[in-house]
Amino acid sequence: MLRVAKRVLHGLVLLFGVSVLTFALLSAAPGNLFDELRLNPQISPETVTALKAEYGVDRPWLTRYAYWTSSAVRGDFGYSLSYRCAVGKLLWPRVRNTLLLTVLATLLSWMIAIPWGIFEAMRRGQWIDRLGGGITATLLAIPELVLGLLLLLLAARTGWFPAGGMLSTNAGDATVVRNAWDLVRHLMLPVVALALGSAPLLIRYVRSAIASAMDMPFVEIARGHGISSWRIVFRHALPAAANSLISLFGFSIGTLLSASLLIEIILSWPGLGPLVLEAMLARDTYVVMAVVMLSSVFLILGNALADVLLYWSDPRIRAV
Amino acid sequence: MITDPRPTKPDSQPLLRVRNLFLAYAKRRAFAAESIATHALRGVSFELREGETLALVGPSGSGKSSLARCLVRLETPSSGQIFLEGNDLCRMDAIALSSARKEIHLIFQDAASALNPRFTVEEIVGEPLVIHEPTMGHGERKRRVSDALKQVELALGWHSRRPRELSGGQRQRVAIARALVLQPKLLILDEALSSLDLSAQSQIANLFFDLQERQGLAYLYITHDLGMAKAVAGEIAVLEAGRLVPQALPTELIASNLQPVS
Amino acid sequence: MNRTFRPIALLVFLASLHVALLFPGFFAPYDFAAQNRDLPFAPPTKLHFVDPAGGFHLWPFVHPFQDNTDANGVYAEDLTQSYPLRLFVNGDPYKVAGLWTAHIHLFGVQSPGQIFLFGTDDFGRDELSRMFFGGRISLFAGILGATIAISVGAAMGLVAGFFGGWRDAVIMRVSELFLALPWLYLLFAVRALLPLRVKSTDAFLLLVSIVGLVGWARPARLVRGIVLAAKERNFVLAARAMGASNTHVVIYHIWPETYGVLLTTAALLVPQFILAEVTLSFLGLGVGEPIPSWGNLLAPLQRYSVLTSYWWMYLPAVALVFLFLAYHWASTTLQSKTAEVRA
Repeated sequence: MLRVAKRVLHGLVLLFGVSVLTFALLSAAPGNLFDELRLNPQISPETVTALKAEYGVDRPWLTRYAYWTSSAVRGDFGYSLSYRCAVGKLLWPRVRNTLLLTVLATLLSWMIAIPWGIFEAMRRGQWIDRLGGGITATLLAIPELVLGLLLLLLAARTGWFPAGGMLSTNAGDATVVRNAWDLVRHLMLPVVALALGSAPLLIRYVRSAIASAMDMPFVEIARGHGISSWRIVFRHALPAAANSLISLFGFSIGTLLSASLLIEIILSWPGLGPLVLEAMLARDTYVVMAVVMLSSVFLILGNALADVLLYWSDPRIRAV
Repeated sequence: MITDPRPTKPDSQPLLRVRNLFLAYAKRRAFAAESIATHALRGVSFELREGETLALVGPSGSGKSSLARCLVRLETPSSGQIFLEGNDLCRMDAIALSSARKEIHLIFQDAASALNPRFTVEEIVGEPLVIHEPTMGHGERKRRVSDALKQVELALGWHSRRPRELSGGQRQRVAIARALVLQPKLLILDEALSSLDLSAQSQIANLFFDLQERQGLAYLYITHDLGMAKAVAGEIAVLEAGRLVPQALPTELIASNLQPVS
Repeated sequence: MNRTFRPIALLVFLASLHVALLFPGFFAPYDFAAQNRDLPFAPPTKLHFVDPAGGFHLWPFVHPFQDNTDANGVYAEDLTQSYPLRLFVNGDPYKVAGLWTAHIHLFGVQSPGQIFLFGTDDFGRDELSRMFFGGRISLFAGILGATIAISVGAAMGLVAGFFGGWRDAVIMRVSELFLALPWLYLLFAVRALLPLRVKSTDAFLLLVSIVGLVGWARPARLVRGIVLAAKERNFVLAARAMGASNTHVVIYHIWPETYGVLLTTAALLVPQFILAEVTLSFLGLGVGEPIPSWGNLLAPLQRYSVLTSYWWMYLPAVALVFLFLAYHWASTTLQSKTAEVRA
């Protein structure tokens, strides 16, 4: 229990540090939204001045940071000047969309990686292992960027998938069931893109974890006793490999908000990715700040979760 | 105090004189109020003269290695004095300490780990020269290295080998050559023979005898092996739990059937 | 195939690729900004060995495109004219190492003939030439960025591991901070430090520094681990017992222990940093027009028409994949080699 508390404290301190760092970086950026706004003839100079005063843009950095933190812990992430609404309102639908994507993609990745990794480990050194190794190496070498573009091309050429976006334009007037199906169709491409991007690395880790578990003496002994391969893998090797796999799983959780950034932008999925890009281009500090902080929360949580899960599952660590 | 019945040269001071050496470690547990002090050495005193061999025998945990480390200033004693040729090592400034270091050298138990596997024999033996005489020319250094290697009876042609190509005995010879290259007066042998096989042990022991005769080296031989100590040393001191046990001459030691030293 | 032959062939291939990309002016037939407004999105020029009359030529030649494209924008070859391929031709001027101006290109055709081996983009600029110049930018952004990250990381790791104490604690906490931010977001945040519209020539250097500053944390931790382990080795103790100063110990005993880790880290980081530059440029946040980079060469693919109709615009992506494969093989070879040395 004490250990968990220490971990949580550590995470909070880290979060604090991250918020300071991000806010400092963003504040140091030359040029701000108000300069852009001033050019907009629809907004009167008085409004701009008033907004400036309200958001204390002219006040020193520390004051602004304190102001931001005190409202953030109450759930108010500030105001988006380019979208003209509260940042929070802007964020949550996007977070929901991103999570929809990443959770499904993570599940898919793990569902591919575990059986394939086990299979490769069992057939170590044989031709099928090497073929699989070659495929994962090639997939690893293909950047997400290219993967996204290729899938987009596939969609455009074959028409099997909608080329990007989340819902078709006439979604409003269709029935719930049709909308759900529409959503699924739009989901398929980005989810596949993400899964293909992360699966190769996972497969590698699974394979090496199982392979090194299988190299351990107690597995040799079990084999000597005549226990069948499958039983060995599931009852002996897998639990031994579980350590590294569990921490890996924790890290997967950690990247739930950040892994899909690029794919969302390429495939026009309305998640956090396009939001943060636009906000950056428009110098909308509070939006970028909120998104970065949220992703960091997930990362830190993911790491902490990996630690805690490891502690809970491995009796050896508890004994220390 | 060691009382030695042999007549001492009346007007020579001992090479090494250790007085009342204390060494304590403070171990503090996280969030604990007090720290627990572990005393490695509790008031150790002894003398060693030029050209003589003193064996320090004791079980593991008795403080032998701590003493060795204090003597080469790898550790700083909590109190006490270490006189090398009359000068207190514990109160020397950096420059004096640097030249004092040329007189004392430590030989480790495990030569394999004490030699950097990436270095060649020549580089290993030459390292003390690089440290203490940086202005020495390449050729001069090579000559000194060859001399040292000759002294340890390592055949020519080993210069560019690396430690992993050498046997245990050869590695120890290289370590000794490294110790000799600065022409020290005192060698501290921290279990220097214990990791060798029997034939290598006798060879190296003979090497030590030869060097002592030829060059008048003094040895402080630290070991847990009483039999070995008896074979090589003129005097034996027994260290137990950081203290020197009142000493007797070797034969009395065996006769009195001390508690087993591990 | 001989065991050692493959890694050496690989390293030679990688090295020659890097050297070729150091001199894009020579290898590319045209300047990267040279436009041909009448030839937007022209397909790759075909090399022929058989002329329209059926005669076989030993030396390849090309046909120019006809002036009018037909209604679909499809280019047809003008078979009445042909230009043989020539080596070491005079062409657009370029600067070697920023100092000398030269005119010689590896290959080309006599004007008014044109050779676009990889097709053209929407301004009629030769894709092959742009890929050479862009390759230089992307590749060396990666290498320079990795160098910065590794240098800063190694220095931090050395200080943290060797001296320990508060220095170690501070450095480790700060590195955790950098590792806790998702890298792409951090990249964005750091990029946001700079004015949006940066002069293209400065953009490269800026990009490299950003990318390097973001990546120091992991190398620092790796080096720290090595230093911590090396510090306790007996040969380090022996050196200290001989009176070696800290400087001596670090230079002669500790630093050489880090070589293996640094090399393998470099092989892993360079492709990551190349990818970082490509991603930023693709999104319009990196190197901008008219300077090419493999990232902004791929940017037009975000338009539906380009995505589906002009396959040669994908070629920078193909080049990227080959480059990453080569680096990946290099890094696995390095890892097994350093594992051998240690054993």
